[in-house]
Amino acid sequence: MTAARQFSIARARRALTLAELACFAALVTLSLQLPARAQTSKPTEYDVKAAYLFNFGKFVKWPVNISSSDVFSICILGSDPFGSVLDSTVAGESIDGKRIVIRRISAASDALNCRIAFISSSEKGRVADIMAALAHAPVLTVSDIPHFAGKGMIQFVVMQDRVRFEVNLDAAEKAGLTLSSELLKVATSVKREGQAGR
Amino acid sequence: MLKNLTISRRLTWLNALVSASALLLACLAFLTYDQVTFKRSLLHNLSAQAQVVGLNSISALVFNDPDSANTTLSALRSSPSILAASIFTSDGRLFASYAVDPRYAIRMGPVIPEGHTEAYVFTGEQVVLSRTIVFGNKVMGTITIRGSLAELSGRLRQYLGIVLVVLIFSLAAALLLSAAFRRAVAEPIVQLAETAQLISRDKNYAIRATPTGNRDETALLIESFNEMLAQIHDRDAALETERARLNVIVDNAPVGIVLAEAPSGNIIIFNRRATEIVGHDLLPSPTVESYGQWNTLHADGRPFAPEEHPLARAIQRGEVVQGEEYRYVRSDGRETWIRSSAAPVRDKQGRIVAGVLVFSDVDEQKRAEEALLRSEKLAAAGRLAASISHEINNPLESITNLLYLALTDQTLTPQTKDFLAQAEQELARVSQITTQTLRFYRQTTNPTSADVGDLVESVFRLLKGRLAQTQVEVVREFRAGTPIVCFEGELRQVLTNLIGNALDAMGNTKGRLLVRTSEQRNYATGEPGVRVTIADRGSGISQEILKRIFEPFYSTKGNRGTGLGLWVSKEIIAKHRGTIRVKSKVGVGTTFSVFLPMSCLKQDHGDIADIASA
Repeated sequence: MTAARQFSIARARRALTLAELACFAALVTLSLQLPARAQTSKPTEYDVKAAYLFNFGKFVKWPVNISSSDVFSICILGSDPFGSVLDSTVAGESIDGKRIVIRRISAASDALNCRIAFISSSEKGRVADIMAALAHAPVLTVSDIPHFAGKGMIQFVVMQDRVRFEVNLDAAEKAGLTLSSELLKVATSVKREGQAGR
Repeated sequence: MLKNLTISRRLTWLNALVSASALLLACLAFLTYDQVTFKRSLLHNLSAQAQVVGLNSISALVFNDPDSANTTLSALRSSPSILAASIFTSDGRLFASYAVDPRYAIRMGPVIPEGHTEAYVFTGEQVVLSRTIVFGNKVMGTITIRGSLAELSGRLRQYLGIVLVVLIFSLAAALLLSAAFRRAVAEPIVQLAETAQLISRDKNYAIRATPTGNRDETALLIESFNEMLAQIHDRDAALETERARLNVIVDNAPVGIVLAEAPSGNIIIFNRRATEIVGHDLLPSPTVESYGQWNTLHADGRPFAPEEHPLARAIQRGEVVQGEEYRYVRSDGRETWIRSSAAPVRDKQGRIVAGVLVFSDVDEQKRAEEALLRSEKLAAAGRLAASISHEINNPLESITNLLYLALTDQTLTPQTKDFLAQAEQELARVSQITTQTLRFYRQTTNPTSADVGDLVESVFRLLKGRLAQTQVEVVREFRAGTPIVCFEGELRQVLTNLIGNALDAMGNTKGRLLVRTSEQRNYATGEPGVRVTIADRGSGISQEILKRIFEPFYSTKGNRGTGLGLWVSKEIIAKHRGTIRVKSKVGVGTTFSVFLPMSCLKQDHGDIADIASA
């Protein structure tokens, strides 16, 4: 890593004027591209949520003793609000060298083998049951059901048109999951024992 | 710039220049090195910062939380060299930014080339560095940091200040040191130059440069210089000796020597004999044309053109002239014969640089040749006259006898007797003439003993006619009684010459002629002899003429004299081993004194016979 960086510095220094030229060239290309992108691909709420769901996997550490399955499964419990978005988001991706698969399930017990479980808002009334079924299981529970963070681990919230999330650190720790500080840093609030969210 | 300075000043300036430029170069190198390394470390630093900030901003990017990113960026406030920082998303959108001052805010950074993670660009006093933010294998965005180079220029100013101070101090040190060097290096050379100048000014090659005592090139130079001086000194001395020798040779040469420069013809050397021969100074003669002032004549009396002169021919045409004879009119008017030789002097390239003329006065030789010729003619005439007289003597004898017999005849008339007596008288004169002639020109084979007084008397008898015409009183003082052995005729010739000259000197004045004979001894050998003194009270002879009176053909009598009398007299007296001396004072008179040894001719008769026949 260090060697590569030094190498690139050396290369860049040699092509100093080239860099200046490239800078100018970039200006032109970007000014052409930016408006086009803004017009066509304004991501939808679930687009963002799908990406977040996938990215959570990168900031969470699961206990080492869990089944050494060669897939990293993200499960959707209840009706699927993502459609094909989630599938396309994770297509070809992997976490910790494990291929990501999307599983759509209806029983809470099915979620025990998942790494991440998204509890659809269709399961709004069953949250307590589901959480009880998954208690202490090393499954990161995520949902956009209001107040989910009271029992679940991560809850999506929409603030000022942006998708954010709240974290219940206690729930995660009880399940043996370690959440990266980086993740906590960007969470709108983190619930801990006797502590209010930030 | 350094051309006209003295060596010591030049050394000083060179020292200063060398040390200054060395220092400047060294400082420049350090400065450049420092700037480069500083830039590199700054980049390193920026890169590290970018990396850390980038890592800390990954989650913010992933979960689209610019606030978090802004918080992270604002932590850069603690780095004073960072002016601004921005994070761009992977699609180029500005995600978060931080700036110390709004004018430093970054709207876009340098494009990172494909396959690289970093790029930077220096703009004036700033550097902008971009670095990709990678999460997993994905480029999440770019962080761009604007760093300040103000510290760099601050360092530069600081360094320049230090360089200036060091430069001033080291220059001062160089000047001080070079003052010491000057003494060691320049001083001997300066001294040598002064010595050389002194020598060249005073032409004193005895002066020597002082050695330094070191063993370096300067010492070698001084040593060589001194050696050269010694050589010049020796050569000068040798030249001086040679010149002195030559001077002695030239000055004492019995011939005239003249040396002239070519091609001008300017005479530079001539010896004493040269001026003696021509009778005047040879200077100034600056050109060949000036040779025209010399009265040089061809044998036929035509004057020489300047370029015809042997010296001119040697100088101008390289001619070698040998033994050419011509006439020369001396400054005293006397004409003399000169024999000249001339040759050119050439240098190594064969160019004529001078001409030499060597000449001698051959007048005496020429005249002696003529005299010899003339005396031979005279001798021939004498022999002829002697033989004629001899042949006439016999008939004269008969006529005398016949006349004597005729006079004894008593029948003769007194008139006839008178005629015969007159004839006898005239005949006696003829007889005397023939006898005289015989005595002068035909030497008796043997010298005879004769009384000098009788000889004088016989001369007086011979000159009776001339004496009668003058008012000269003759005083005789004959004290020598012993006869001497001699050739009477020759001695009579000597006496005739001397007495005749005395009479000529007194002319028609009422003078007195004293002839004295006395027995004396030779001062030097003590040999007994007779001295004959003939003194007149005539006009006298000047000192100049007195020196030359014994020269052949020297005469003051013009056409009346042969110029041979005294010369012949001297020769005759020499033959008798005698001496002749003369004393004279102008207006008072002249005294000739002849000493003849008594036994002058007794010793070697053969020798005398030889001389007599000559």
